Order: sequence, then C-alpha cells, then structure tokens
Amino acid sequence: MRKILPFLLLAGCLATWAQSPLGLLGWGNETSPADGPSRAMGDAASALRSDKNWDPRMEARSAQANLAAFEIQIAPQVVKVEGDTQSNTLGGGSLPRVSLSVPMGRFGHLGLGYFQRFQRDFEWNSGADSTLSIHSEGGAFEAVVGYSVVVPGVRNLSLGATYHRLLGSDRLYQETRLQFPDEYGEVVVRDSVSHRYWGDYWTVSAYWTKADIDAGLWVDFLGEAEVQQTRGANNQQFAPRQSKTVTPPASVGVAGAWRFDAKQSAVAQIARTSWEDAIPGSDARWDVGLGWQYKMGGDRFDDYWRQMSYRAGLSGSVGGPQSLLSESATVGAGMPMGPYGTLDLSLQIGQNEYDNGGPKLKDSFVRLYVSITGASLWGRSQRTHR
Amino acid sequence: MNLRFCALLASTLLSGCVLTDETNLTGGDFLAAHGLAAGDSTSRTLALPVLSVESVPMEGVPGANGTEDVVLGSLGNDSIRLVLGFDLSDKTQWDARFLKQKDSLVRLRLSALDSFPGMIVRARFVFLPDASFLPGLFAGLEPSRLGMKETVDEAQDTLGAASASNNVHFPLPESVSKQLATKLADSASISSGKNGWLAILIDTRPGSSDRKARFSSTVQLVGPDTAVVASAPDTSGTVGLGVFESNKAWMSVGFRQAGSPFSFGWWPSGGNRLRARIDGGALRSSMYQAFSIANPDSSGGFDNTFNILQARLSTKLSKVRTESDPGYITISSSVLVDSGDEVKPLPLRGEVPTDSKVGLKLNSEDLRLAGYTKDVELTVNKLEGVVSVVVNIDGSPAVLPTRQSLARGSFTNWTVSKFYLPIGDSVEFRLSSVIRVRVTTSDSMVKAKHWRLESSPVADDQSRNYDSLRHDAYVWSGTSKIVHEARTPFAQALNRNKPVEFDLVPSAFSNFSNRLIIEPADSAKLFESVTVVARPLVGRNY
Repeated sequence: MRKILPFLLLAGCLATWAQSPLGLLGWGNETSPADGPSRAMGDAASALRSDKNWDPRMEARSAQANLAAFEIQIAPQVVKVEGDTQSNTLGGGSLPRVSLSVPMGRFGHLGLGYFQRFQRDFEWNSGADSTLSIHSEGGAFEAVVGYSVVVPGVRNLSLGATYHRLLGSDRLYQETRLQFPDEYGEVVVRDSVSHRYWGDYWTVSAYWTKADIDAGLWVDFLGEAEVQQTRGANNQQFAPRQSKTVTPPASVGVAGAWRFDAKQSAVAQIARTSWEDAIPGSDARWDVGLGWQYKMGGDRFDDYWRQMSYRAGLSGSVGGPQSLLSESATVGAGMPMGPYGTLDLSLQIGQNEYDNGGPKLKDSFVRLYVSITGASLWGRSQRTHR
Repeated sequence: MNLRFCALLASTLLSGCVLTDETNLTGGDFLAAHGLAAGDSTSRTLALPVLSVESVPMEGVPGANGTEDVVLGSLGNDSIRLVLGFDLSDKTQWDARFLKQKDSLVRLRLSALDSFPGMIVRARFVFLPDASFLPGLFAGLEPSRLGMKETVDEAQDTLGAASASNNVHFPLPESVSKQLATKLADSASISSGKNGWLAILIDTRPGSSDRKARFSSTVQLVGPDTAVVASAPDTSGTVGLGVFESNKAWMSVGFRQAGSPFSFGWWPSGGNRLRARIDGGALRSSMYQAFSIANPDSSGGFDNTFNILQARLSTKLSKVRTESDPGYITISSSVLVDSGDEVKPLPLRGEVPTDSKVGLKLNSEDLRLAGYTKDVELTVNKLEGVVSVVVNIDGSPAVLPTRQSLARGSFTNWTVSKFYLPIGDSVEFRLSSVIRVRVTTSDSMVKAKHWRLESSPVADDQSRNYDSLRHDAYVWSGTSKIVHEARTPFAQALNRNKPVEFDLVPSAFSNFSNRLIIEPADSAKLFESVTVVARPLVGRNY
C-alpha cells in the first residue's frame, strides 16, 4: 500500500484538472478501458495472453489467467489546444481505471473494476471579456463485473460475459463575474447544463489461444441508458427536466496477438463503436491499433533492465460524436515490482483533430499512462503456478 | 523508489504543474458553434411595458392603537389626526386626589417630544357609550358616520409653541368639563362601568408651511392648577389615556387630501404602494429586438434566452415630499401562480353580535401546496363603521405582522392577532411567504382574495459600498427621477410564463411618524425605461 500511496494522491489531484474543450462533444473525452501493457501497444493488446492483466472487453482472456491482480492507472497529460486563431497548453489528467482480477481456477475468473470512461473537464476564458468563463466537470463512469470460464473440454477456448453499470453526472456552466463601479457586491451569474447517466449494458467475449497465436472478439449488447439533462441559471426557471432513454455506445471488436518469438509479440485490434442512438446524427467510430512487445525475459538475478519489457504501438480513430481524426504513437516499458507486480509506463504522443465544417479545434497531446499492477497467487502454491 | 520518483516527476510535469498556461483562451469559436453562447454581455435601453398600475395598501395588517407615535401635523394639504380615548370608568388611570371637585378637569395636557412652532387645531369631544366605537374613530372615521347618539362638542385654539419636554395645554369646552365632572362624580356608574369613554379628535388645519408636533404617550386631562413643567408634581386631579385591547387608547391617522394625485408613500397609520403588472409578452419581444435575437429559447413556456446581469429601472417622479431626507423605496417582484377568492355578505347593522360574524375559507388546494395541512378561515365581525378580522389557522388566531413590522423587514415585531378595517377599505398581508391575502369590505359584503406566489417577493440590493446606497436609489425632496437596480425582478418578468407584478414600496423611517409621499410622473406606465446588461444563456442548443 505504501508503494502506491503517492500515485493515489496524485490521482486525486488529477481528477480535477482541466482538459480540452473537445470534451464538450458527445459524452465527453473518452478513455478506453485498456490495461497497462496494452496502453503501450496502441491499445491493441486485448488478446495478448496475460497471467494478470484484465480487459473488461476481453473478459474471456482472463479465464486463462493464474494471478490475482489489482491494477490502478493514472494518466497525466499535456495538451496543446489549437483553434483557428489561438492556442494554449493545458495540463490535466484522469484516473482511467481501478480494477481487481481474481482467477478461481476451475471455477473461472471474476473481474471487478471502476473505469472512468467519459470526462467533460475543461475550462475556457474569454480573451475579449475577462468576466466570462466556461467550466465543465464530471463525466460518466462504469462499474464493471466480469466472469469468464474455460470451455470444458476445449482448453484453448474460453468465454466471458461482462456487466457494465454506467452511471455518473457532468455539469457545464458559464459564469460571469462582474463588479459594477457603483455597486458594492460582485455580481456572479451562472447558467448551467448538467447530465445524469444511468444505465447498463453487457459484453460477451470469446478467446482462443494456442501455441503462439491468441485471438479474441467482443460484442456489446443489451444496452440501455437514461440520460437526464437539466438546465439551471440564476433567477431562471426552466421546463421540466428532459430525460431520454438511449442505447449507450456499443462496440464490436476483434483482436489478435502473435508471439512470433520467445521474447517478441505483435498485436492488432480493430473495433467499431456505434454512437447513432446515444447522440443522434453521430457516425460510428472506428478504432484500430497495432503493437509490439519485447520481453527481455531475465529473472531476478539479472540486471534490472534485463527483467523489463519494451513496447511500442500505433493507434488511430475516426468518426464518432466528436467527428475525430485521431492518431497516436506509443512507447512504453514494463518494469517488475516484486515477484509478480509490474509498473507499466506508456508514453503516448498524438493528436485529435475536430473539423466538421465550422471552427476547428485540434489537440496535440503527450500522455503518460502509469499503471501499477500488484499481483499474487491466491489459494495456490507457487509450485502450481505455470 | 527511483522508478516511483521518475514516474511521479513525469506525471507532475505532464499534468500541468510546469508545462501549462495559466488559463485556456482557446476554443471560443468552437464552443459558440456548439450552442455555448460565449458572447460578450451588451447593454440596451428599452421601455418596460406594463398592463396595469394600481395603488395597494402597505403590506401587513394595520398596527394596533397605541403602537405608533402621538403626533399631529400637516404636510401640504395632507394632515394627521390625533384620536385620544379616555376610559371614564377605569380608575387605574386616575390621580383622584383632586377629582372630587366638579369642575376639576379643564384642559388636555400633551408633553412635547420635539420642539414645534405652534399650530391652530380643531378638537372635537365625543362621549361614547362604550368602546365599540373606538376602532372606527382610530381608523379615522368621522363620528357622524358611526351613528353615535352622544353629543359632540367642538373647540378651536392654538396649540402653543413648545420646546422638547415642555407641556402644552388645550382647554376643554365648558360643557365637556361639566359632563366630565358629572360622570366622574357618579360612583355608581363608575363601578358599573357605564360611564363610557371620552374620545378627543384633534385635527390640524392644512397650511402653506409643513408642521408636525410629536408628543409622549403621557396624555392627560388635567385641572386648572396643574404644573406646566413636565417633571413638576401636579396639584390637581388628572385622568390618563384609557386602555383598549391591551394598548393605550390613542391613534394618529394620516389623511390624504380628497382628490390627491396618484401616489405612494408612508404616513402615520397608513401608506400605500404602487403595483405594476408587467406585460411579459411585450417585454420579451422588445428584448429580442433590442438584442437582435433571431432564435429565442422559450421551450416549456419559460423564456431562457437571456441571463440578466444588470437592469437599472428608472422612474420619473412629479413630486416628492419627505419630512426626513432621504427617503428610500424598494422595487420587489412577485410571480403569481394561482389565485382564488370568496365573497360573503355582511349582515345588516343592528343584528345581534353572534350573527354579525362571517367566516371565509381560503382555497384549500393552494394552502396544501403552500404547506398548510388545514383550512385557513377568516372570522369577520361587523362593528360600528369597521370590521374586525381574525385569521384562524388550525382553529387558533394567527399572529400577523403589521405594516410597521414588514416595513422594517421583520415578521415578528409589531404583530397582532386581530385587526380592524374600515368598511370600504382593503388590506393586504401574507399568511406565509407565498400566500398573499387581500381583504376588501363594502357596506354589503366582505371579500377575501388570495394569491399563491411562486416565492417570497424579491428585491435587489442597492448598496454602493459597505454603509451607503447608490445616490440615485434614494428619494430626496424635489427628486425628479429614481433609478433602481432590479435585475432579479426583471429576470422574473422576462423568464416566467405567469403574471409578474412589481411593487414600488416605501420603507419606513426609524420614526414611524415621518411621512413620505411620492407622485409618479406617469401613472399609466409608471416606469420611464430600463437599461439592461444581458448576455445569452448557455445551452440553448446544447
């Protein structure tokens, strides 16, 4: 606990820091639920066999895992926001996930987690009118429970199901602070739009692993979410709260991994996320990723760098409610911590470009995913650990 | 440890502790294009359209007798009447050592609180059979209207100039003095309480110069050999003011000259407000035009197009008369959600007292919505020239704030559980913060109308700094225009789909007897213009 305390403190600070105004669109800036190693491989390693990493989309993979693992992830970043005439550099961050993965041997695998999926945090101040500012905060997150099991008689095949409880709220408000010269008090006027999210959906996944090939697919379905929108302002009354039931963004994806060398792996992933019902008029978003990993494979008696893993990846997205054209490159390393734990770092450099015919906005970002995974054998001796 | 340190350092750098600007100025066009109207605030001046303007009494029920100042005077053609009541059977108010002489009471003695220049007054002396006539006289009704059979004597004299703490005397007519001697000498009628009351009505003669005399509440009928200096002992008998309904029996009543111009103000025992009902539809149209709004947001019946940052409401005045500069008024607004009324006939005069009571129930649905669990009933009792009103909540008389209380921003000082209302007048008070009641009487009926308000009436602060108000929010003698900040009332009028009323309310001075009378230049529109600083509301298309 002492080891991860500084990260928890930093994570608490990050949750309140500003991001780009692109978070205005859709349900906010979206973060995938990928695990630490996958972050460094272009978010493409959902199918790469792992003893401890859990991806709620690819729950079926974890049926093959042996280690109980707790993972916490933070993601500080710097974003350069460029508009048509102006640019700014902003700091910020998020707490993408906190998860617990529990293998239960022949009884399957259980995964529990919190995932910050959407964030609307941003600030904007008017350059022309110093009294005016826009603030946004909050977002929707997921509480997830997953279960998977190896198909009896087919040792290489496992199936999984994940339940996602979607909840949370966000608020966007415009604030004017005026000090009239002939008035004693400052006039503070706010008007806001807030959303509450409540809903759920399921994911089913299938995973197959044999020799040096791993493959998996997942499908989100049975989704239903209630989105309430409420407006507020000083001295104003509004029509009753609007509530609508929508299908939350649902994705279908396939992923594969080829462990073409004793130390090296290549991964790829493609997913399509439909936004048509959640945000009318939105196109579906396509996400693709490619990655590579090199595991030095040393043991604890080797130099530390020989115990590490090195990773790289490319990823891209197009479409979605934000009409984004997004591309990024990642490099990272996995560093052992204790017998089974790791510290996975992933440095991502990329950009999100919004160009929908109106004013343009582009985010160029440098993001560092810091994942700490503490793992151990629960209920099994080290001798039985493969 | 080194790994953790490196990760923390990189995180700190990236998360903005070093590599970041102070504020984000980028994205304004993008936000505006997506429904966040990040436009600058702008100022426009426009007319404030009103549907009607009416004069309504000061909020709160009338104050009880003996709770304001003993005062006489005139302000232009407006005058103040002082009504005094002496209970001729109440020995506790007597200094009876010298009352055995039949002609012992010959003067009315008043003790001046402030210096005054002297004034010609007319006094009328009325012997009342009982106290039932007092409420009518305290309300300023003429004795002739009360149908009294007792004699009325009249005297006119100069109430001599006085400095503060000096006693001044007014001679009683000989006939009054003799009647007093007869009544006070009749121990049988005293003990049986049949002596009745002596009421003295003192009116000032309106003059070209403004006069006012304020006296202490130690008002006495005195003998010929009484002391002139307030602190010196009397050497003749005295009779002090009687007690009516637990208070000393006096009342000063302000009178406006018949046919006076439309006005609002504050005067002894009275005063009124001006109430303008705003034409919301016309106001919204003129705002859209003034701010060039092509797509107003009026979904759900509410107009959510603007956020009002400032609304300076100017009112032209044709005349301001104030005894103590400066005077102060507020502009408060109320949103009317619902209303209902009940009318019942008043019984003819002369019926037995039990039949003279009338009960009026307020609409139960409004009361339930306002949080009351039981009906509220008004018990109205017809007396001589007036009705008494008791408001019963859960079967018990409610304690209501008087106009003195509300004018000082309090609901708990100066309260009564029963008030008197002259037949033909009306009174307005709130049962709770959101239930407003108006009781109106005529010779034949009594009407209780109530409104359910959206919330308690609201008014904006006019402070310029810690201890003073903006100069143009005050009213001074001779002021021709006042300008009030009214962003909250204005926003209500613009936003709501219900009737919205603005009240121009005079505030009380620290001395309740100080008068303030304001005549607006335009009694039909009331307000000259409003200068609005507004910006579009966020989220109209978001």
